Amino acid sequence: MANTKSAEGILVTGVIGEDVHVTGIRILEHALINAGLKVHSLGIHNTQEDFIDAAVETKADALLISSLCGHAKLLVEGFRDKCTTAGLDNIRLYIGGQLGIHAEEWEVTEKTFKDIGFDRVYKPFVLPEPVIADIKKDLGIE
Amino acid sequence: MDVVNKKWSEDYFFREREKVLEMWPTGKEVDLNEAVDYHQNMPPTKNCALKSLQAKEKGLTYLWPSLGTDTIAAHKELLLYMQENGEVDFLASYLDSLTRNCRFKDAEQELQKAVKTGKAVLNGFPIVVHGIKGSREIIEVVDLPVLFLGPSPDVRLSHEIGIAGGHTGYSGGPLISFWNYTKDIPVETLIHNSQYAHRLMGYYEEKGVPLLYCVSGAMPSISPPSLLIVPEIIEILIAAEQGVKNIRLNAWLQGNIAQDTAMILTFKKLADEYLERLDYRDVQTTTYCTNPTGRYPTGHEQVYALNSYFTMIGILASVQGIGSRTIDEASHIPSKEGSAKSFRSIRVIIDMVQPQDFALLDDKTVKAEIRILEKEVRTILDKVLDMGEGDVVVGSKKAVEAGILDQPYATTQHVKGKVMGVKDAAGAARFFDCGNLPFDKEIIDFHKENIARREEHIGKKVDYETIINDMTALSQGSLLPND
Repeated sequence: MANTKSAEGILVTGVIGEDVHVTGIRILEHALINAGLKVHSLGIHNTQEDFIDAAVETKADALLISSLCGHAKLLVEGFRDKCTTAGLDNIRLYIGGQLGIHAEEWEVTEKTFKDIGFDRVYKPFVLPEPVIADIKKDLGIE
Repeated sequence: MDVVNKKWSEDYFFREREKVLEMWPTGKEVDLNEAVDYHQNMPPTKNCALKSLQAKEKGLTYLWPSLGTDTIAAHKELLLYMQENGEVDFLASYLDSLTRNCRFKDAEQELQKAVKTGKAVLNGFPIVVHGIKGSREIIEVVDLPVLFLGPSPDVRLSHEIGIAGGHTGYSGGPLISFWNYTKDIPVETLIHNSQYAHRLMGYYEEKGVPLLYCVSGAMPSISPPSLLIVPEIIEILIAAEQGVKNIRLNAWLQGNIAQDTAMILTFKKLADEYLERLDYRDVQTTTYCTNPTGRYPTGHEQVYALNSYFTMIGILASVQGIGSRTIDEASHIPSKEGSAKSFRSIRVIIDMVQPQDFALLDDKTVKAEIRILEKEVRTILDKVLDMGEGDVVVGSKKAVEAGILDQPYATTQHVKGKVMGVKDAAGAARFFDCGNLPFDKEIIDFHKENIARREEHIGKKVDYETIINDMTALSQGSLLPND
């Protein structure tokens, strides 16, 4: 997916759904800011619409969604399509956390979320560094 | 909202009170004169504030479990079981999260399901729905004092029902609720709601009913202890202004003996000092400590060991009260048997260590921790007071905006979230990032030097991976992550 504009590294971050697990996304936000990226944090308790509205408002280059309650698949159903409807054609979508309740092969989980339209899907306990490297590469920063 | 640290006039309090009592039908049951009489006829042995003071006078350490389930029958059974089998000195009614968020209608519906099925549905005691009658039914069947607890954005009606219902203490506070239990409620709203609760306690105090307020400050997550003590002292000053007279200081332990000891002692010293400095001279403080929040081991044997360890630290710092995690809470809501076993094991440590009257005060590592911690707390608190021109509430609001009052991993969107901790080579919490805290070079260097020793030890710079591993170390039964 080629970006038509030159990316500034504007990111919208947050936790989707009802869960209050905030430690992971706070560590990531701290690291993203230190890496020079512009972070618009939504914190906990967000819906798909909250992410989309914020992305439109901030002209974001990417959305970083965290979920730890195990209901991620339900919570992001149809997300890429809704982004497109909202005019966010080129936005990059990233998701990570504890995405499912059941133990399954990672490839299965990854495919589930890539099929929904996520560009990158991260395993539990992923560290900030590889995520930052991916974002910079994807957005053509540096 | 223009919130300041000034005692509410009786007129303003009673006008606010009319609205609060309207929040749920049981609010109308509260008759303050009748409630004061009720408390005055209660044996003093059932009063949290008086019993806490007794611990201080006699040099004892009392055990405070955290307990709560939904129906009257089940809560009664739980408290009686703990009284008979847990060797505890106090009991508790932990409020369910629906009640803590003032969702009383939902709490009532869920309670009905629990009554019908005989199985617990709520994660605590829905005090408002049960009303005064339900609350007193619990209080009257037990012999020990009972407090109610649970951080919440709005505890006003819970206070009305809880206290009139015979509870004699509350644990929670505006700042812990702000950092850790809300997303977008302004800090001044939470303080205003707390002022109501404190003013109500102050009203009972004026009528001769002592009540205990247990401050909480902030939850620890590898937090250098100044991040915990400062919000607690602010909560104390807000409560004292409204007339609260008996305060329990909550020291969250994190595992490094010298730092934890320093926290207990420094907190007590500075709480008393700031109370006196701001002219609250008739407030009694008692000390209390508990294990850190965060992931805990699932193996019961590991939890017994951790609980014993944290208890030992508390006793060495001569605390008057101890709370604890329970052996089965990492797997499910603690069972009554699990809670009783946990506290019985802690009792052994207390009875073993306490007669020795062994104090760590002269240890040079403890002294070094105390020195730097005192300086950090004074630096932040004095800045907060300066920003409010002497008013701690006004100052707190500004300090949150400026990142002078800050917390790592907060759920609220209203803090900077720049500060972050990491463990040093001895497992003490140090500032990985001081954010906007107004620290001088000595403080900053102290943290840097201690972190540098950890880096030497592990052979690499501390980074986010180190922090994540530090956070989960305790769940593996270790102060520092295993290699």
